[in-house]
Amino acid sequence: MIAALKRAYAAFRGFDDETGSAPMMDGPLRPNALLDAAPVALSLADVDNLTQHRGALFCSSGSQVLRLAPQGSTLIASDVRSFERSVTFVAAGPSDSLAVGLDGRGVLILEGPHAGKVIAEIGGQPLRSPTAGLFIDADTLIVANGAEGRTAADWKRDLMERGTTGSLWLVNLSAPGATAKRLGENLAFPTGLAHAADGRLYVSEAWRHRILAVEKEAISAPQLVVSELPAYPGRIVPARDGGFWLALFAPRNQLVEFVLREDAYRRRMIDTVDSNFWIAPSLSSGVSFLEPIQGGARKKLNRLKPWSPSWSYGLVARCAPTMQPLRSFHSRADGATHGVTSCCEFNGKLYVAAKGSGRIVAIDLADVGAHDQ
Amino acid sequence: MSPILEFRQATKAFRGIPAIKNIDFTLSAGEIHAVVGENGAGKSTLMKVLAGVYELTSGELIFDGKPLHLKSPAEALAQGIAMVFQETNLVPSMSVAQNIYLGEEQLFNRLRGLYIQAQRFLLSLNFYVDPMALVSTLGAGKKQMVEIARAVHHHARVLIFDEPTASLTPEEKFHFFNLVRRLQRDGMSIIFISHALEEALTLSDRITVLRDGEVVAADSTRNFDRARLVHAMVGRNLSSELYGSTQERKTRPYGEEILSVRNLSMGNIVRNTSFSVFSGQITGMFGLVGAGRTETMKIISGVLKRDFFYGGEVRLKGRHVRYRTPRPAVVDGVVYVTEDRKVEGFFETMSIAQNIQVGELTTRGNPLELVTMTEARRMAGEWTKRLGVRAIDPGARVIELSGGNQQKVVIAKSLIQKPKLVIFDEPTRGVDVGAIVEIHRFINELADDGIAVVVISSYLPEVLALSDRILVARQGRIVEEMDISEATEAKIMYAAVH
Repeated sequence: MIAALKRAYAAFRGFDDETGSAPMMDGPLRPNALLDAAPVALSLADVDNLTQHRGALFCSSGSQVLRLAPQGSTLIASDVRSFERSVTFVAAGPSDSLAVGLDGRGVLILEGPHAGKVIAEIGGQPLRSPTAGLFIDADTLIVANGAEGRTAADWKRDLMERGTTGSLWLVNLSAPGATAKRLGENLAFPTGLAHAADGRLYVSEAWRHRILAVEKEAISAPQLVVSELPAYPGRIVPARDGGFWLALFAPRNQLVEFVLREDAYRRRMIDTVDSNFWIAPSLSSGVSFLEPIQGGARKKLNRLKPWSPSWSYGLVARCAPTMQPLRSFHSRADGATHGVTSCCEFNGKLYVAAKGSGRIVAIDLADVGAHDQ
Repeated sequence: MSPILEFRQATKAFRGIPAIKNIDFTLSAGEIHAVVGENGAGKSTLMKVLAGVYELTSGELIFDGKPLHLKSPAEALAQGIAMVFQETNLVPSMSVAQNIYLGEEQLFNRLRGLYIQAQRFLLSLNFYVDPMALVSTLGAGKKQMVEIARAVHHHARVLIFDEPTASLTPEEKFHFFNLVRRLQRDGMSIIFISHALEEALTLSDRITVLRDGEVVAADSTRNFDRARLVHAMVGRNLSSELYGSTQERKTRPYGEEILSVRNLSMGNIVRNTSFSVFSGQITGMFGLVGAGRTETMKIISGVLKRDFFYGGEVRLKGRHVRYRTPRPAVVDGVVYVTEDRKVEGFFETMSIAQNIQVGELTTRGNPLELVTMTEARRMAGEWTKRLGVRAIDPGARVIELSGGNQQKVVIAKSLIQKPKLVIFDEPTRGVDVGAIVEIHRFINELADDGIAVVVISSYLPEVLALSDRILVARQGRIVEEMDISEATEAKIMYAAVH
């Protein structure tokens, strides 16, 4: 009887339910400082999506797409194209196809057989939050729409409002008007796409901290591949020797998990506080004393504690072909390579773009034995 | 030194089958004499004869130059022969102090005086055990300490330790060795049975090696080294198989996350601990006694309950679970192989087949389903063959088996439940080198088959030899995680202590 009463009280107060904690970073995701130890190849504000195209390395930065040329241990950036909107993704595909996502606008096919084509509407709705794109072939593009009616830059608001309006679309570029078929809906901010070995697609669903597998050709119930990640997953990039690289752009944190359960508090915070100072994950942190965290908890003898709870973090995971993490590269709370949104293997190195810190670091894959799995 | 005790052509047979035969053994006054041998070699039988538990079938026992016929342990104790058994024989419902002074009760007892007396006595032995604590609440290491304290308290002239250090941490072992040397200086003769050969080589003056119930070597310790001891014990060289170099081994990659523990709490024993366990890997867990390793794993497997409010989370393959009894955990594929096999591991008066069948019954959904002994015997035969359980008689009761074979039965009883996650708590405690190799090989096979394996061990070479990754517990929480490539004994011990 007492146990039943206790259980009822616990259920009423929300103790012991499934949303109370953030997972540990341990096992393959055990913290290290490898991202901070890696040499900085380029400092570039707002650096975002790295990709290989025509044998060269490209990246997006704000509203630009840049070509990156290695020079010794660094990269030299040269302007390729500028847009009136922020670039949300750069996707390269067969037949030298290149597509870019423009925040609040849609997708523009930059190069390839369908160059110049714009996908501004999808499923009868404006495509405002194109967060990821993946070519299946030169005529078919998969596009992830992060949140309906909201721009990709507004991701923090989407998380704090517990948005689940993301969707996944298969766009036939060769059809007149570029027809689109919905592959998935009610997704919580899909941010990464990759081809799985079994012919399906891997989709990272950021706000549900998981990776899903979906069929490419038809709408179907997505299969859970990896769940309960300790950070918000972003772009997925194939690795040279099989498997994938997964960029995780911000850490999960017990306080954020708690705030996400407290609806009234969260609403008040959204209404009254500047979004930079919300109790929410971030691509970079520590820039203002107004950030909602106690200084005493983060510093000891005026040094940042690497294990202290932080709003931002740097994390790249090397994953097996089944997307199970195998090892990882970190920049901890005291590090300076935070907000990793993308990575790309190029010339035997893994280039990691930390949007939060505005830098690209280069990890020599032979040195770290990243392929010895 | 003159002999205080001597066996001449000692033979003890059970059902006509000799467990020891024609043993000649001499113990000098003030000597530390190590007796080593594989499980089933006859060490415990020989010592139980000495402690008055068994009587010899033939041969004689000479004590102080006179023949001695012991009928009971009380008689042996009266003669000044005390034995600290491998499996503790304390009264769990009584306090530590009451156990130490058991049998010496007055008509009127003043408990406070008893506790103060016990506290002083325990501290004189460097044993930090609360004299008021109930024995049932103590871990195996502390129970062993109480057992040793009780024997020392009886002023025995001959003290027999059967695997005394099996459940002690390195720090406690250090104190224990000092204690043994102090007892020796006081003129006590000590017989020391151990599977930890380094301990026998470090502590003893002489070593006797038994194999298949016979003495195969007896010599001064300085004439032995580890290789000669192992060879004498098993008749073959096992050094390379046992605790080989960690550098030569290839680490298994991380598989799927099977278990995720977050902020788990239970009173002040398990304190807000978090960790994960992955399939296809062996996760070693090291810590000193009281670090909360066993309790953490017992909560996960439903043997103990975590705190009701803010007790943390346990997720099995991402699914939130809270087991209040072990059965649902077993059904979900979580099994716990206990460190205290005598109390929690098996039904000692039941046969091997019956014990293994009990394990299998737990997984059955229908309680009314009929089972036959033929089926049980078939299953038992399969598992005894797979694990190499050696018994004089296939229908033998588990109590009649040696420690290593008992442990194999406990393992078989758990593995028949087809687990996804197996937690071994001190899997080779009180087990001989031959059986250790077999058990280690079996644990490795489980991980190779993709099962998530956790091995709790207080023996650092074992943790290093088995694990793919190592978790170190201290004061109720996991404080350090190491890959096997970076782990050393010194690093692990530093994390466990500081």
